[in-house]
Amino acid sequence: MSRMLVVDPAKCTNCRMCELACSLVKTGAFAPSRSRIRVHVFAPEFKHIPLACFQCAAAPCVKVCPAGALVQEDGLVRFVPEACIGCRMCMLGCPFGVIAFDSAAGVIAKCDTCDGDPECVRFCTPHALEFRESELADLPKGREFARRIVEGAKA
Amino acid sequence: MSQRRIVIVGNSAASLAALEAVRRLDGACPVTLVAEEAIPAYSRVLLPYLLSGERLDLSLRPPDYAQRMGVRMLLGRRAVRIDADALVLDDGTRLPFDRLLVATGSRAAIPAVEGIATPGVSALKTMADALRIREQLAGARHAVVLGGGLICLLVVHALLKVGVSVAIAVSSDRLLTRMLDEEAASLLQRRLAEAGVRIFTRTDAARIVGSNGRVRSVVTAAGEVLPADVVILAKGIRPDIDLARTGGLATDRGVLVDEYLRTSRPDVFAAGDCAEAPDMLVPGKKTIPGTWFEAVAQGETAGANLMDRSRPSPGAFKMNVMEILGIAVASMGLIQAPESDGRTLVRARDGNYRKLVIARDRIVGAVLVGDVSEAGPIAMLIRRGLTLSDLKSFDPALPIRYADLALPWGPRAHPSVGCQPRWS
Repeated sequence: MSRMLVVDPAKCTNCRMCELACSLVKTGAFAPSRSRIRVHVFAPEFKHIPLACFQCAAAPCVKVCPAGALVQEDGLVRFVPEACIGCRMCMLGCPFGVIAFDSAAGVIAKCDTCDGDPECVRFCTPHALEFRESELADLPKGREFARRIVEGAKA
Repeated sequence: MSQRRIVIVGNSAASLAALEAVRRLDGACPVTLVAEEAIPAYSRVLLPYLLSGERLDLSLRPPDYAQRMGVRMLLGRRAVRIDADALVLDDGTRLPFDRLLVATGSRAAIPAVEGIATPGVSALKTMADALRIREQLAGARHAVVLGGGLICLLVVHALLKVGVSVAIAVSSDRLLTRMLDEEAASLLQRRLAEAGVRIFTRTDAARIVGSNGRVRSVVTAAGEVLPADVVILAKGIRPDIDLARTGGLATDRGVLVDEYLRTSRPDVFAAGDCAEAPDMLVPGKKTIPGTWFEAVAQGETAGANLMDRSRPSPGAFKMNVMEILGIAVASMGLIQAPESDGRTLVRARDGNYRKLVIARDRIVGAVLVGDVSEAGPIAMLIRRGLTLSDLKSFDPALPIRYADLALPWGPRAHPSVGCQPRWS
């Protein structure tokens, strides 16, 4: 079983500490716009869902990258910034829209789970984010994502 | 039954995706891959970056790829004929096959212009082209690009990096006609003009002038003389269907295939730039998207079908993205509203532009300039054939997110609950 970022939308308070923590550790600045994890807000329902790269097993972004900048490795979709040409094909390929573009760096930005110790999780005081082993890690991500939102809606 | 023998012609996006799909299903069946270029698979998307010297290694796969995949690679060999039971190569080699994939790709379209053969005039389609142009660019001051498509812009990007002055001559009234609408194109053209690029629209090269075995200038139909040390042709692509024709496969502009990417011959498939496949959005129409995305997607489908998986393709879908001078441009599907029951929703602000094209209630296309972060979810939505009422809450002023599509408490049970990307 692999470890993955598990989100419990019911616990998310939309405080956005995850965005701050992520941008600080990844870019050296409190810049939520450059965070690899983003909280999606559904105003009418008061739902908040933090989303980051799902590390898909058959990742469309890896398949379309024409520059070899995204590689599947040890259950992660690893990003190689030196190889990225900033063409954004992965962003078009990713149906979840969790790949961002870092204009300052001229390359894409995506979650790398901070090498297995995600900074966002450490700062998520409501514990909506956890990084742990999950049987879901081995399932198709779309299904898991839908389930996660269903759960969130019920709560 | 003995093992199925697979032969693949071509060594780029579609071929590799097909090969990998075959290997996921069968690790042992004998696979032979034939390609005209005598070098390992490289990324054509990166050719402009080789031109500018930003990237020197364009390899798409690791050096031990053939060994790892258990595939026999015959590089530098041309397939010339398809017999009843074998593919025949230029040196007479016969490769018996049970299933054949034709992924011969495309060639650059070469316009019939006086002086087109002058040294210094060339398209950018192969590694050899890129290396030759790079040499010619040493000491060059002026470059002219003919054509205004995606390749044109990628070339312009590279030329600006090299530091030559750039002029573009395009026969249509704007750049990227097949990808962008007028507003989106004008945003881009303004940025190019600011960077010193001269753009000549509604004109064509009437004559290419050379002296002492070297190109000197391009004379446009309007009589303008554009100095040129290098001329790059970016007039689009032509599917390479020579093999398909001599092999007796049905062709039109490309090799005609059905939704399983099967050609007129049941044991032969085609994918990528050479294939003319059923369109995803226009029933009855066949299309050649000619994009990297589509080549990967078709290759993967064709690979599964080489192994008799009867996997239908979701349909040829044109989608592309690029960046030039810090402006990202993405387009997908139909970029103009169909005349009957079509409409568009445009949002333009802060230099960002987004147009959604809607037919009845279904989103059938989009154009994005600047921020393209919602492009992936929109593409997903188009591919799944969803309508605006499928979205939980659609606000034309806000970006579309995947979560909008998957929300199950919408007006009706949502088709994308439990869905997965077409690739998985």
